[in-house]
Order: sequence, then C-alpha cells, then structure tokens
Amino acid sequence: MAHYLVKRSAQILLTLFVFLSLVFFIVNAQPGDVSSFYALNPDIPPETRERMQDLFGVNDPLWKQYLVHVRNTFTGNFGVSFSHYPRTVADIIRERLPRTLALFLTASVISFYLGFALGKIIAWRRGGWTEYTSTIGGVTLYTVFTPWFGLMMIWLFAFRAGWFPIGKFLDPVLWRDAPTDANAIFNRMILSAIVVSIAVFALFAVTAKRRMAHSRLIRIGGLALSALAVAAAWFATGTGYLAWDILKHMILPVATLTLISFAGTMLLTRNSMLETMREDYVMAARAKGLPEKDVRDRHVARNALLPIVTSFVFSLAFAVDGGVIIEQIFSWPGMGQTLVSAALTEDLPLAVGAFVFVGVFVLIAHLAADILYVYLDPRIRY
Amino acid sequence: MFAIRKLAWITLALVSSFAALSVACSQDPDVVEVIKEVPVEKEVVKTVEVVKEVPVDRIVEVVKTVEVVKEVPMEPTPAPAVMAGPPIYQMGIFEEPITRNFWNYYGGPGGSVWTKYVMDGHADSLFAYSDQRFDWIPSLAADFPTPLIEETVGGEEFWTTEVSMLEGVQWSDGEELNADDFAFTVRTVMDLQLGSSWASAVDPAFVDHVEALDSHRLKIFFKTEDADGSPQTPGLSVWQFGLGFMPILAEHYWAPVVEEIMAASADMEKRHEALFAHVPDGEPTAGGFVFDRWEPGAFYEKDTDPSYYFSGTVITQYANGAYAETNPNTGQTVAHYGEPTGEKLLEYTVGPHSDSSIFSIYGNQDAAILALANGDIDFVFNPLGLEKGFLDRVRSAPDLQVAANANNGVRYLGFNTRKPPMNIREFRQAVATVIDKEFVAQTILQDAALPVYSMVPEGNLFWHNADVPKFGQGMTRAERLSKAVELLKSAGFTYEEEPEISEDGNFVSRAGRGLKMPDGSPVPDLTLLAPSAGYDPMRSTFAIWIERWLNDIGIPARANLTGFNVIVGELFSDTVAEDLDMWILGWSLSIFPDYLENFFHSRHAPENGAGYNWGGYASPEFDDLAIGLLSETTIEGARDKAFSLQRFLAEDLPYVTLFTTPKLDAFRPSRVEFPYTASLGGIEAQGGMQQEAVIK
Repeated sequence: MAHYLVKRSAQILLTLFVFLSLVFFIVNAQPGDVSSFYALNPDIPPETRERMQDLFGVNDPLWKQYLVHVRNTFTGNFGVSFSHYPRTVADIIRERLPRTLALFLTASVISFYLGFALGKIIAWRRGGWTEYTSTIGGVTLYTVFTPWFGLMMIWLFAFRAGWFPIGKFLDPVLWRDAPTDANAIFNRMILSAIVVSIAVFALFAVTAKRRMAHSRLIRIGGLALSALAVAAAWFATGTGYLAWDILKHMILPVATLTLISFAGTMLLTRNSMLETMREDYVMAARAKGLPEKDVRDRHVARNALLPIVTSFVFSLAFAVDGGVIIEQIFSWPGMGQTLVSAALTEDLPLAVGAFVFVGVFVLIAHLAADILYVYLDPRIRY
Repeated sequence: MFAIRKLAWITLALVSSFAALSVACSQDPDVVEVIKEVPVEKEVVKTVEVVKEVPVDRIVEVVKTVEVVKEVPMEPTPAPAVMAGPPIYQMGIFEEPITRNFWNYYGGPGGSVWTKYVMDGHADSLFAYSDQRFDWIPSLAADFPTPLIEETVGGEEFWTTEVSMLEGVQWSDGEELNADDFAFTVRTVMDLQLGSSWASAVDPAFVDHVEALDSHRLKIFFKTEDADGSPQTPGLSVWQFGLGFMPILAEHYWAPVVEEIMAASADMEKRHEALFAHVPDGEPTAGGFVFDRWEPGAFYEKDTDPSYYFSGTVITQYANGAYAETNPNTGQTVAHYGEPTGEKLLEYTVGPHSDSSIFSIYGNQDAAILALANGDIDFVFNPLGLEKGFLDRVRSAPDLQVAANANNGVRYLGFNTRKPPMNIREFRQAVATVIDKEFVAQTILQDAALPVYSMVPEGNLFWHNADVPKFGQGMTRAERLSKAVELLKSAGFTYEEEPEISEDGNFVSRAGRGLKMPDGSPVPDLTLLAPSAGYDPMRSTFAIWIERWLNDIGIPARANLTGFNVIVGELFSDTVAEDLDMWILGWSLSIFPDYLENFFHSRHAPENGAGYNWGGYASPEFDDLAIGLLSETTIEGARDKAFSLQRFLAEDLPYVTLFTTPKLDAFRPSRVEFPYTASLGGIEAQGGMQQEAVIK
C-alpha cells in the first residue's frame, strides 16, 4: 500500500505539472490581454496601457511568464489578480471557496443521498410505476437546460411565489450592521456541519460496534442533541440570524442543484444494483430466508456501492470549482463565478490559479477514492 | 450494509446539522426585525446635489449612445407598500468593484466602471458640470479663475492663473478642506507619475506646479513651451475641463502614506503598487458619502456624511441660462451665466436624502433586473444598456418606470488611411454614401439604434454640430449606388463592369466588377473587422450589410465578425499600419470634445508613438484645427473650433459614424424620486444621482 501511495503521488505530481502547463498555455492563447480594458478611453493617455502591461508582466516573454507561473503554483502563491488588483489570487480563493463549499457540498450530499435511496428502490422494484416515474422524471431533470431551469426556479419560487430571495447569498439591509463578515459565518457554518457529522458518525460507529439495543433511538437522539448543541452555540454568539439568512438564500440553489443532479446517482445505483443482484451470494441470502430489506441493504446495496462512492468523491472534488452556471444565475459569488469573470476579463493569474486549484482537488480526490476502495472492498489490494 | 448505513447517516448528519442550525438560529429574527423597523428619523426633503460629471469614465469600449428622448411613462399599476425603515437608496450592479482606494480607481488597474459607481460621492473638484445643461460651474472653487497670464517667475516663463476656494468646507472627519489639499493632490500625481485618469487631469506636458497662496487661494503654473520648445497654451481641456475637474484628496490623511511610500522605494512601479495596495480605512471624504462596509460579492455600502458642505443647497437653473446656488449654511446665493430671474427650468435641494447607499452585487444583468422588478432594489446600473428583452420585462413589472435619454457615445467604421484605396477621400465618401444607416437602424434594428453623422453625438447639445455633410442621407438605393459610383470615378477608379440597379430601383441587379484604383491596379480584397453578434448584435448587423453594399459597388470587402479582444489586439499590434483595412468599434465620449484631437491628430498615430489614431489619419489642416481647439481658452471659441472639426471630419471621413443607441434607465418611482430624469447619458451617467435621489 505504501509503495502504491508513493508511486501514485509521483504520478499525481507529474499530472499536476502537465495540467498546469496546459492551463497556462490555453488561457494565454486568448487574444488580447487585460490592458485591453483600459485601452478604449480617449481621456486616458495611451501610455497607460503599456504601463499596465508592464505592471502585470504581460509584456514579458511567454517562457518567463510560464516560469513565474510554475513557481507561483508550487509555492502556493498564485500571484496578484489583475481584475482585483492588488489582491492576491490566494486571497480571493480563500474568500470564495467557503461559499462554494457550503453550497455545493450541501447540494452534493443531498443529491447523492436522494439518488442513492431512489436508485435502490427502483432497482428493487423494476417495471413498476415507481421506476418509470423516477427514471423519466430524473432523466428529464438531468438533461434539462440548466440556465433555463435555474431561471424558472427563481421566477417561480422567488419572484412569483416570493418564498425565497432572488439570488445572492445574503440580504444587504440585514447585514449592514452585522458584527462580522459573511466569510466568518460561512466558515463557522462549515465547521458546525463538520462537528455535528463527526459526533453523529462516532455515535453511529459505537452503537454499531457494540450492537446496542435501541441503537436507532440513540442515534436519532444523539443527532438531535448535537444539532441542538451547535444551534445553542450559534445562539450564544448572537450571529445565528446571519447564518439563517445565508441558509434561506441557499435553499433555492441547493434545490435546483439537487434536482438536476440526483438522477445521475440514481441511475448509477440502479445499474450497479441490478448487476449485483445477479450474484450467487444474493440468491444464497434469499435462500437463507433473510428479509427482502436485509438482502437489499446488506447484501446488494453495499456491494453495489463501489462505483457510486467513486462518483460521489469526484463530485465532491468538482464541487470546489462550483457550478459556473448555477453560481452565475443565483448570483452566488463562489469559485465558479470567479472563474468566469477571470476568463472574461483576461485575469490570467486568477483564471490559472482557480483552474489549478480545482485540478489539485480533483487529483487528491482520485487518490482518496483509490484508498477508499481498499476499505470498501477488501478484495482490492495495491 | 454497514457502509451504506454509515454513508446514509453521515449524509443525514450533514443535512440535519444545517437544518438544526436553521431552526435554532430562527430565534434571532427578532434582531432582524429590530433593524428593519427602526422608525424613520430623518425627514425626507426633496433635494439633490449638483452632479459632478467626470469626463468619461474609464473603460471599456462602450457603446451606447444617442439621441433622444423621451420618458416612457408606465401603465399605472398598483404600487407596493413603501418600505419601512431608514431611507436607504438600494442600487444593483452586476460586477464587483475592484477597489475603494481612490488613487487606484483613478490611476491604476482599479478603474472599472463598477468602481466608479460606488466611488461616486467620494471626492469633489474645483469645478463641475451643471445638471442637464452641463455648464461649467465652480464647485469647491469660490468663483471662476482669473484669466491666464504669461508671467516670469524665477527667470522662467509660465502661464499662471489664480482661483479661490470655498471657505468652511470640511472633510468628513471635520478637518478643513483647503488649498493645501489641492496642491498636495497635484504634487502627488506628478511626483508619483500617476497615469490613467490622473494623467488626464494633471497633464504633465502642461502643468508645472501649483502653489497654495494662502489656505484658500491657489496659483497654478502651466508650462509655456512643449517638450520641443514650441510655444503652447493651456486650453480648456487642460485647465478648465482638465485640472479643474481633478478630484481632491485629503492631505492630512494621505501625506504620511505617500511619504512612507516615497521613502520606502525609489522604483516608481513599486511606489505605485504600494499606493494602490493601501487600504484607506478611515479616509475622510468630501463628496457627501463615507465608506461604511464592503461585503465582497454581496454589497458595498456608503453612509451619508452629515457634515457635507453642499447638503441643503438649493440649485436653480433658469430659462435665460442663469445658474444659481443658495447655501443655507452660509446664507449666500451665487449666480453664474446671467441674472437668476425668470422662468425656472430646474430647482432642487442638494442631499444626500438617504441614510446610506447600498450597491447590491448580482451575478448577471438578468438577476439584477429581476431583483428590480421584485422590489429588492430601486435602480440598476446597466453600462452596456438595457436590452430589449430586459426592457420588456421592466415594462411588464408593476411600479417601474423607464427613462430614455441620449447617450454620449458613437459607433463607427474606421479606415486605415495609410493604405490604398482607403487613403483616397472619394473612396471613403463612396463607402459612406452606400451605407444606409437609416435602413439598418430603423428597418432591421427596429429603432434600437439611431443614425449619427457627426463625431459629437446629437445628445451633446452644446458641442454638437448638426450642420455637417451627410453622405447618402435621404437617398434611395439607386441614388446611393449612382452617387457612390460617381464619387469613385471622379477619383480615377474604373470598372470593368459597372453595377446596375433593378428596374424598380430596389436592389442591385448586377454588382460592379473589376474595380481598379486610379493607378490601374485592382482594388485588393479588404477585411472589415467587427464585433461578433455575441458581443454586439447591432454592430455585427451593420457589418454584414456594409459588406453587402460594398460588394454591390464592386469593392471586394469581407466582414470578419470576431471577438472584441481580437479587434483591439489588432489595433494595438505593431503591424497595424500594414494589416488593418477597416474596423467597426465604438467610443464612449466626454462632454468636452477634445477627443477629436485624440482620435485623429497625426501625432496620435501608432507610428508616431502610442495613440488612438489607429487608422493613421494625417491631415495638416485637421492637425492645425485640432491644436487650436486644445489651445482655446474661451468656451465660445472652443465651440466654433469643435464645429469646424466636426464639419471637416464629416467631409474627409477618417471614420464613418454609424449609430448610437438610447440610454434606458429603469427605476422604481414609488421608492425613489429624481429631480429630473432627462439628461445626457441618463441617470446612470449621473452615478444614479446618489446625492439627488429622494428615498420615500
């Protein structure tokens, strides 16, 4: 395993190097540069454009820019953003990442859970109306034109019904006297979710290992207590209303993301389950007279999990770049929106930095998935 | 099974934790309500401040211009209940401002149009434009400056002028705003060699230095000779509309910062970096607002400055051209441009009339318009215009109104006048003749564009010359074709086969073939660069039609619809003189038309140094006229020269001006009231009238 990890890490480094080189040259292949945006004002002396080019180093030879880019990447300093000058790329990513993580991790988890649960059911009830409606509905949503669907969700539930805010992630009037900034709240929200998750996971592990009586009740109680404890902590800080405001703004984009993506997991689960159901050990389980639910959950679903988990891990990694379209439509200023605006304004350091950042996460996710396989499927050995 | 349940529980835990947080945190809405229900303590008075229009904001290639026009009253619809709470002017923008450092905004990479919107009301200048009429009026200056005189000081010749500043004006921190602040700002711009708009305001070719004679009197020294030793005069564009419009920053705040930067490094680039990187926490302002909060990606908020000098000032404009200001703080009334008597065309009281201005940042124009329709915001900035789809949505929304105004910009077809046949005037005139602007603007674009014939758009009333040659105007297709052929032949062009028009005169039955230039060589294949439909459908439409009409008269032209950056890259390339044929772009313009010199004087051709004269237009006669405009020191004299320049350009045609578009502003009259909505560039060009808007 150790040998494999070392080898795999070396491969990842090589892949990363190739990736960042490609990103650099592709982004640089765009015509013009950021100074174009200063070029067309007759009141601004033309020398300003050259000065801007010198300031940003876009007049340097390409090889020199490339070396600077490689150095910046491997030192974790992606340089200074052109369009947010003089802020550093790292600073901007630090600001945008928590917003994207909060939105997309939530949506990924919900959509995975929903897709997995529905996938199990429709695999088990093949040919019934449940399968047809879930499949047709899921595939329809999966293939719907995302910008249109996002706009329709906003129009229907925010504009017409008035149930949710129209885009953005907070209400400025509410936040104008807020004692802290939005990123602090986002970070605390993510931390809170992690704390609750760890507590529940620990509780789950303990009750499962010791095969405790009333384990279901204990787990639900533990979950409720953890959640209450975190909620109490929020209440004590006096910033709970700010978190609530963000949550309100999250509902519509999370619902949209979930609806357009759960079908992927659902169909993957269904197919994987159908393959597993043909295995001899499933027939053996049935022959033993185990309840259908046990056969489905313990013998089929668990063994069908491998490709689903892989897909889930990758989806978490890609959550880092955010949904470019969803972030644009819902005015959610995360990594996706940053990527778009960096590309449009020819902000090379920011565009390259954001791409590379996403690339690193995806490569790490690959490694994590490889390691996870070993635990999920004892037959796998490296 | 274990793994499945484990995952399920983890999932459930994550989801539930957010849900639990929501429930727990919902106890706090009381706090929210408290904020929302603060009673209105400030009495709303209908007042407004004089808009300080800075000549052209930076940026982008803009675009929307025109002529215009009318206010579009909306159908009466039920208005939503007026919002409770403190009066807050809520505006929508759909890109993040870059900086709140004024040096960076005005002279560095921070100068986006979005930054401009949020920085409005930050700094003031000696002079400003009046509302609607754009008269040149004193702002922080107590009166107009003394006439320029030639003076010898210390053995050196200077043009000098003196100007007094208002007394009693304070920065938002209570310090007095005086002549030292102005002198400091000029000195800093010059010492740090700041570029961009700073260099435009403090032209180092003209400005020598500024002295504060006392706390409220300035003496300005201009150079009498240019770098080559030729005599020069600081005209309106340099002094009255240049240095006079320079934003003034607080010496007591910035001087220590600048000193530290100067001491830290002698490298000018590093100095710039340090200056632009400074976070101006606690910086005093003098424009009616002070920075309050910037939540990146969400909103930017400015609070009203209670000590704003002009707050409460009553501005009155009269039909006889007079302008008057009555300041309740001093009890004094100042008047310019005649006796303030007779019919009043405009009267309002300067604000700000809101507790604060909030700029909500949306991800796109669509979301911003929807938020406007939903009542979340009162006004949306649309620097690229309000497209028809959005306009329809606004019109269908209850309680919204649209103001349509002329736009101060123009879109044009440019020629590389270095190369044949574009270097032949009759060729350019023939091209202008066959371009049926009215047909494309009215029939194809359904009046979304307005044809223009002068480089100064019609909306810029004072400076626009309507009496210029208008090639092709009013002609039928057959007449255009015939006239274009006549022009070409008069210059020595010959055809193997002349174009023919159909019997009904509606279309060209046979395109011209074998067009040869006066030297007998065939007209080469020409490329017309134009933005693609994705960037600007109007210009791409014009390009397609122009290609067709040029082909009709035998000119082998091909429209290359491409990216904006590709065109700009081509114009700034080292090979522009050889590679460029024709291009279509647009300009956003300033009120004072000194841009005529920037665009067409031969010294601004790339081969003569950096400049915007990409077509390499070179006409000694034009050059003399243009320099005359820059040197002119009187408004009337400058107007005469600007008129001559427009006439000259419309005849010689280094550009064929194509069209402009109306500026449409959507706002919520039940929440926000403007003292006027008819103005060049619309409400947006006035920064959303943050000082003027009365919030109900």
